[in-house]
Amino acid sequence: MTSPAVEQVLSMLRKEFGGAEVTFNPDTSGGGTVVIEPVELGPRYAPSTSWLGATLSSGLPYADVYPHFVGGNVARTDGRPHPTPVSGGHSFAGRPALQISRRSNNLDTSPDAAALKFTKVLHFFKELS
Amino acid sequence: MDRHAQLLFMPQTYRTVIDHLYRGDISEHAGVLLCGWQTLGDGVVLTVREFIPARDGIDYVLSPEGHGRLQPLFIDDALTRAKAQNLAYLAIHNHLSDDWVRFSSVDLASHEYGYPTLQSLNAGLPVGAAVFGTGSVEVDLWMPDQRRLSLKSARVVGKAVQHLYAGPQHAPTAAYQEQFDRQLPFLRGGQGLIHDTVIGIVGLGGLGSQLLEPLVRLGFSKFVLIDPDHLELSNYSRVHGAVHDDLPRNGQLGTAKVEIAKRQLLSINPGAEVDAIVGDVARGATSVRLRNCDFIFLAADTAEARLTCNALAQQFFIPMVQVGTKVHIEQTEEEKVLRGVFGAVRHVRPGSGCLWCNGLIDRAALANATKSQEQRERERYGVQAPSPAVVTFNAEVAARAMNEFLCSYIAPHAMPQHGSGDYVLLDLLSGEREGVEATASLNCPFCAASNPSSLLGKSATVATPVIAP
Repeated sequence: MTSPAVEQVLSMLRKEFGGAEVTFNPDTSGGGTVVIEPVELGPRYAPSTSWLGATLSSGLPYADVYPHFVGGNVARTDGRPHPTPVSGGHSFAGRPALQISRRSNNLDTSPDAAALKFTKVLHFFKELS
Repeated sequence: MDRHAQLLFMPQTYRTVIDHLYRGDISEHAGVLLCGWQTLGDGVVLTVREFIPARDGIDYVLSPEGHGRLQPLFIDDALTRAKAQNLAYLAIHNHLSDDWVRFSSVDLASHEYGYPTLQSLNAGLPVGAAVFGTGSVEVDLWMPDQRRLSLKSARVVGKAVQHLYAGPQHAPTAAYQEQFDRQLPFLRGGQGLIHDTVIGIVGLGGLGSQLLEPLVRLGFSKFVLIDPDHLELSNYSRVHGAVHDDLPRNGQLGTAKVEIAKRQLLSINPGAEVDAIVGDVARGATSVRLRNCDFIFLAADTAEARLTCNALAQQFFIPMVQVGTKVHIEQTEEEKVLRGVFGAVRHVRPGSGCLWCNGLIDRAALANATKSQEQRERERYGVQAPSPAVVTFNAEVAARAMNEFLCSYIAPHAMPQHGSGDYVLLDLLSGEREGVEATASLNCPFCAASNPSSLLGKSATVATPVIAP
């Protein structure tokens, strides 16, 4: 059964990403993987839209949501390689993926904070030069 | 009445209560304690979450005969607050006594007159009374199952733990045993407390296993041991009590670390009571087994063990020390360089020393804890190698932790006048030691009294966090 904390984060994500489909695949411990699709990556990337995913641990709200993933076919339009902390060659939820490793140092355990982290990570990726 | 109730305070709450009751006059004063509660076997443990002082002449009024009474509106307000938070209700007042106190016949008659009604108003929750001396407490607790309990002991759970009883005759005692003869002058009567104390040890590896022999030789005889791991060849150099036959062989796992520990304890004291659990404290209901511990040593090095044990300490007011050793080796471009060897003994108490507030619970590691090994490998970021560890450094940290425990819990007369801070950080190469005052966050979900939803002192009906069910 999905934990109440994970349910709350999913609910926030569905509000936060109103135009996208939020697909949750539960595991056996109360958590699972979530994929939000489509998300807009902006002109620095081709393709400029992709998906955004992460594992929502049964350890929420105490566990971080870490790391996040976008589609493995996403490349920089300037032709340069992805810089740290983005790394390629991963897979997530059965899909080829880029991993974005951004830890949270804050101690906020609200579901809003966990959901907001998706938006912040996406913003960070869009602005990465 | 059976002496099965325990009453646990944070130091700041106890000081507020005593300051309210004893103001330099020779009068009785009163109030109400709202307490989290849990039943443990025949016993009940009350954790004081809130003190509501009664105003003299308004909430607490003297009858013409000079007997104090709490007023109905004050009682109703306190009961409503207790019910809303699933807390026990304990009306308190003071007597002009010191280390021995008991209810008067008038007190007891008023309990028998009023508490059946309060029980029905506070259905399913304990109600009762406590009377204080300046160095003593007595309780008359009416349980939902109709039992009526008096006080076994009260504790003020600061860095030094103060033990209180209804009178000196109720303090635990131990018959003279020659084997403890040389330590008795230092302990000043603490041998009885040693005999009664239940010790929890989480993590029986290189550090936790070093705690066993000194503790059992001191006379501790009740242990709860938790560790999911089995002995491996790479930790044979550090696990005390392990023998060659414990090593893995022919594809079979090595002996469980808690079984090695149990065998060692029983070899020294065959009468010891040892609850040895091969399991992860942060998964399922394993942590429930720690609730009847009087003191916890957290010697496991995972974020999830820290999460659950820190929560237990805050919710059930169980004093704890978290111990760890770090051999810091840095890989430069050319070589590996030893940067230092450090140890930590961190006191965690209700409302202070919280591992969460001090950033000592790695949230990314918590996120990883429920992932499969394969997923963790896929998501690995940066270089990760097994942590270096050396048995002799573990020994120094374990010894420091036990001495701090002995002085803070059993022999507070031996505590230094000026505290050394909540956390003791050791430089194990230079021998230097530093005391650090821990920080606390006002909205901490574990330790903040100012956060109504924090776990601090909550009843057992509120689940203690685990990483997976």
